[in-house]
Amino acid sequence: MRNLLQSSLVTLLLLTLVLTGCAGKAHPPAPAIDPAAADWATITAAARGTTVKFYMWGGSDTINRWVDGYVARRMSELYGVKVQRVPMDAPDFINKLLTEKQAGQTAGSIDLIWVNGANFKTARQGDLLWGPFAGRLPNFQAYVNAASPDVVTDFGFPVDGYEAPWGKAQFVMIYDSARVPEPPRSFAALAEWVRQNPGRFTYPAPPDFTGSAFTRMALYETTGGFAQYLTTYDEARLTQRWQPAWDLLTGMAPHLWLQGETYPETLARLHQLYADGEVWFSMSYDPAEASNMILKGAWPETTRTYLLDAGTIGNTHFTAVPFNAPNKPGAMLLADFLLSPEAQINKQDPHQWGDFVAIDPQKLPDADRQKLAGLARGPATLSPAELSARRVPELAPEYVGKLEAGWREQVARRAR
Amino acid sequence: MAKRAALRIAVSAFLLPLLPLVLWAFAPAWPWPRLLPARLGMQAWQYLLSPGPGVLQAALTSAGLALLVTLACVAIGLPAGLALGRHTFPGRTAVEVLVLLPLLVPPMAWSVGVHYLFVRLGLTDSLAGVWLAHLVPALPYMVRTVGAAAATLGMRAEEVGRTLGAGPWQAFRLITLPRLVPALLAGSALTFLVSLSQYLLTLLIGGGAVSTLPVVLMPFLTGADRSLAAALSLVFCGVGALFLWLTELLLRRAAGRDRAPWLHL
Amino acid sequence: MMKGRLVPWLMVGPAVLVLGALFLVPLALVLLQSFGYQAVGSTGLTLAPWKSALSDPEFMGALVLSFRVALVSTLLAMALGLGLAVLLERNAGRYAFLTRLPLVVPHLVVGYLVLLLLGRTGLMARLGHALGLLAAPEQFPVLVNDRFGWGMILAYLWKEVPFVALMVYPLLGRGTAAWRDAARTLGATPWQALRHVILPLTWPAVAAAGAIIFAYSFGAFELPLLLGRSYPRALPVLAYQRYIDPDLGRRPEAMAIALVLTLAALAAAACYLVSLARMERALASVRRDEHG
Repeated sequence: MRNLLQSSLVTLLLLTLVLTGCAGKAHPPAPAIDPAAADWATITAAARGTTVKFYMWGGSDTINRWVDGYVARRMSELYGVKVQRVPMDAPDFINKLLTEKQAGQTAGSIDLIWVNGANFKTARQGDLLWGPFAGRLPNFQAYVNAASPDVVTDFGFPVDGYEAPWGKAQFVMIYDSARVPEPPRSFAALAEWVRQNPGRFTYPAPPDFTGSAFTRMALYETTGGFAQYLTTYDEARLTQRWQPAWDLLTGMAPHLWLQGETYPETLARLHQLYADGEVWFSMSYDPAEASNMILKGAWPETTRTYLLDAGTIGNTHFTAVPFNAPNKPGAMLLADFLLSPEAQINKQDPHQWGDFVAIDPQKLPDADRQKLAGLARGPATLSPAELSARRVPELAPEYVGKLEAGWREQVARRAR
Repeated sequence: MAKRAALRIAVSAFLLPLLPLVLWAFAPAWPWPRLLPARLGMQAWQYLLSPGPGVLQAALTSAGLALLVTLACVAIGLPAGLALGRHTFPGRTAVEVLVLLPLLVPPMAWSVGVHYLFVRLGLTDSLAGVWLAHLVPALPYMVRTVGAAAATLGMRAEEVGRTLGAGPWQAFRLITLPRLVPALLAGSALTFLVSLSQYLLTLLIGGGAVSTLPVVLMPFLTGADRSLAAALSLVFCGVGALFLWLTELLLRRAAGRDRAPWLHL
Repeated sequence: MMKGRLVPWLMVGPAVLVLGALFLVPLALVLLQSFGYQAVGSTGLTLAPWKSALSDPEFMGALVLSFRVALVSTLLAMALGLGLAVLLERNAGRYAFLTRLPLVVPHLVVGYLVLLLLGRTGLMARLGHALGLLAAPEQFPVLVNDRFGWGMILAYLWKEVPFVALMVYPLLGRGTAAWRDAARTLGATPWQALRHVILPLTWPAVAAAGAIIFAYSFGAFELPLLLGRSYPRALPVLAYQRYIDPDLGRRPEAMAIALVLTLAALAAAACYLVSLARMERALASVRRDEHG
């Protein structure tokens, strides 16, 4: 028995050392150039042969597949750069960078991050990002409309070149057209609809990103529009005006799923309720998500998306470089590739992801522009023209936070 | 008779919840009100086995890491458990409390502190750092398991050996150690599983550089694709079950040779 | 009894070192952070995060919810776990997997299982539909995301009952058989045997397991996030959402709440140690008689 024990322990030990030795390859250091000053040719040369670690949300296999497959392959073919996607939520890597900043760690492990909105603002306030770099990317200079408000501000906070765009998101409502012949196109109509169809609608509880956007749009509609909130943060302005939004949402509550006594904590949970047929509506910031779910067979083929008449919130998603990124040239190269016409068009293909372009189609060469226009849309995806016609902006993060806290007190608490 | 029935109820209660999980792992869609999925598919598995998500690599890293953690816990926990179980010494209660604390304190209350400490020490984003961090939740299980066994065994047999002329190390090695093997194996099973299932700690300390099964699994468990979540959950449970089964085999061998097995499960 | 006062300290040394450096020090750091140390925009140590966290109207409700769920699931797990251990005693071989299988399933997956089985469109509901008992999901009772917290309790039980049984089982071996046979020949009912023989002998393991699972179910956030309600959220969920809040000023509050959770866990540990001390005293006299 002792021999068996000894030999199995030794085998296990050797096996372990071999296996874990294969795990975690060393991160090859980027050669020492000054990425802040060097010209593009030097940066491209410096990045060759290195690995870029791209930290992003990992909950969508569609997006993961696009990055792991197309992006990694093309970056390797074009520039000899290896792209390693690391699944991590924005709050988690922001926290990581914050602790690293506090502890004075100058050589980190994240090269490029997918970030926007409140997380971007937090990162800038904590001085966690390197830049400005966006304006130095060749594809940004060539194809991005640098004056567009979508690119100049992020949730009302100035970008200042610290992040580079790579896609556009817009809030869409999702419904099953087989069960809902004519979906309600305003909050007032929605309130009426749930009264007649109890238990078939709900929304994710703030602070979920999408649920938060839903309450923001309720605020826009019931208090006379978004323009009044595009100022610097004025708490009194918000709290003095927001009551109609709460009245609407608390009025709707008894007719919602589970009588509004509780709400799904995450968007994913709402999506599952929709897939199960427990509710007949869902919502998403990704206009292509419904089509992807249909193509995967997870959602009924009669699923469609629509916009509210008053418009829905749109925002841009960005990439940014942390202050202690070990491979800044590689990060810049990846951010630039993501902005290339080739990558942007490929990304919008519904068979890849379907995410809309962040570049200005007017600036593209004719051939590319035609290719873009000719792309099929997914079965449930609206056209870019329709989306941009009804696009309204985001609010500053302070308003968002206050609104989320308000929802807890005014709607969630009342429901019990 | 009642016992038999009660056992059957217990078995059903534990196995029944696993049924929908297994079904979902092979069903891209399963709308209400179907009792069984309309069609089965391997899409989830095709995705998981593709190189992109790195499931295989994560599984190997998880297993290897857990093994290393277990070995360290044996080395550190065996003497500690022996001392706590058999000897009385000043400060023993304090040590017992210290060993109990990581089992009780919620991870958030100390993981963040470990992260800061490790950043200062340069231990983050490395397998070594994650290994060290995993010792904290895993070690108490080993110490307690060995300690309980040591308390039951007592010093008497060893003392008898000593009077018969054996040296202290000999007496320990030939008399006590063999009878501790079941406890060591039980403790190993626990420490392996504890290390395997660490999420917050691995994420914080590993910083994404160390990819383990929970790190890969969690985004899907909180995502919308149930099929993927179910499939990955099965992979996760499979790795744990495999190791548990191996430990079980060794335990049976050890218990078989031993006339008075301590842990006779 | 042991020559060399130093030897025991050498034996526990490495463990104490590891846990002291990697657990106590970080815990102290978190304590400091909860008072605003190193927080973004802070000027020094302050009570503000604690005041803010404790005066939140949701805090009391969250505390009561977490406590209720933890207490109910722990007491049930202790009773059922002991029962399972007794059941398994003579049937160890075939049914042993019952105590092992739940160990390999992570808690979050268990939450998922409860949802898939007992949700309104879960397997049980579909079975009901197939049997003609109900026509729509709304007719199925609300077992998850319910007000009392039964969904969470059931999920915790699935893992905790086998855990308690695993901890108790070793104490139910040959050592107690003699006592229980004696009790039976003396005409004791099964209930009396339980109360006077089994319970005292297994109490150290049951209590230890109970303290551990109470602390866990009080302090874990993943399950309540999945199976709980929107208001009040469980206390650990409150802490977690403050922690990931983009407004960095709320991080010290998250630390403060995490420390409240820690205090609760320590209180559970204290109860365990006190009851253990009492039992140990009673048991010591029994063991003395047994070993002669």
